[in-house]
Amino acid sequence: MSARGASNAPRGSQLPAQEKVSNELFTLTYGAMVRQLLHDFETVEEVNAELDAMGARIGSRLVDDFLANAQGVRCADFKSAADSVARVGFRSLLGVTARVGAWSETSDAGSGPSACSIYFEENPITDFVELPRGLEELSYCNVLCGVIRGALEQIGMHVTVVVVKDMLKGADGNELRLTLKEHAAETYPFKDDD
Amino acid sequence: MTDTTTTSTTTVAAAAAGGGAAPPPPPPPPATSSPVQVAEICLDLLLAETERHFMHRDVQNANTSSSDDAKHLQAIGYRVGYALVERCSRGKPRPTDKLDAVKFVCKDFWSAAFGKNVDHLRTNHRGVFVLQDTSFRNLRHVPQHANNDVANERLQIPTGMLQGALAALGVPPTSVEVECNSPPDVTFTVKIGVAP
Repeated sequence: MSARGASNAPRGSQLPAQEKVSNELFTLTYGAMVRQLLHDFETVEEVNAELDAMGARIGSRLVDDFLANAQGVRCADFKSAADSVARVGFRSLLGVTARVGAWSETSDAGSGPSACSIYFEENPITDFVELPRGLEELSYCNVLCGVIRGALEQIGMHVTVVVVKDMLKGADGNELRLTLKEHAAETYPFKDDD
Repeated sequence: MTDTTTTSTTTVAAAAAGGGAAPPPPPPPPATSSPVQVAEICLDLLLAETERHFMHRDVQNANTSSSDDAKHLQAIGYRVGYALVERCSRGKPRPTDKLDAVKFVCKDFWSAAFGKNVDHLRTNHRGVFVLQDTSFRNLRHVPQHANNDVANERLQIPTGMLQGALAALGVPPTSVEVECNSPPDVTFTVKIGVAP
């Protein structure tokens, strides 16, 4: 039983082993894509915005797969969702460890914190990457912000994500700041007769 | 406890000394197997998003034709292929002729880029090589009877990768054509040093 390949395992019975690819291929593909964007757009700001937008579209598709595969992940409120992104998402999708911290003060009773930071040192998209002179404004990791924003949007949480610290720019670690703008609660039960 | 530690340290030291005295020092850990691996879906979605961006932008802009868009995707693939070959050929003898280079692409490069080896390689020994992969990874989500354009779009980056890989091995192809009649079965026809 245990020797059975992951591909034969019935879907959903347990946490299936994710198919993996080498990080090199992924990094090189992302890098080549960013270079092409830099070539196409006139300003670095436009590239940053496009990376974020592309990330959001990736995130909105990624979240389905993520929730289907990672059972037992809780995303009921902002705190648990941010926690899942950092501890489960980064590990299972990007193969690196990340942690959450710097929770904002709880604004009023019951609503929980509305901002936090995700910290990580190893960043699989920046292997072999060095920002050349003249591109200091490029936010190479903006795609990650987009992915998190797009993914959380699918589960009703509108967040802004910004890069606070970037190791490509000489920081001692990477930090993404998540701020919850609005949590649209799902309404149950849905009316069938509409 | 302490004893075992000391003995093991000495053995390691002796082994290291022995290795240093004889031929070259032991090679560093293989660079091709990167410790970090990402989920395949991340790469899939990145590729899909890249294709979407470069194929479907500026529909209203008449002066970008679809062949221009394909060129952009191929340019991306070219860089990936070029860099990937440099990484996976490290420490291996450089191919001496065209056939050698193509064989390297079919095995080492293909498995680094597409997760398996090429299934069939045919050549006329005059610079035309036909590479067939019957279950090409980048097409595994394309339905078998999909519109040809869908598969075609997904094959632009791999085409560029193949060009870049061969260029990095010193045999830049004069043309690479791709044909796909029933995904995920795909055939690349590579011409090296012959008129396209």
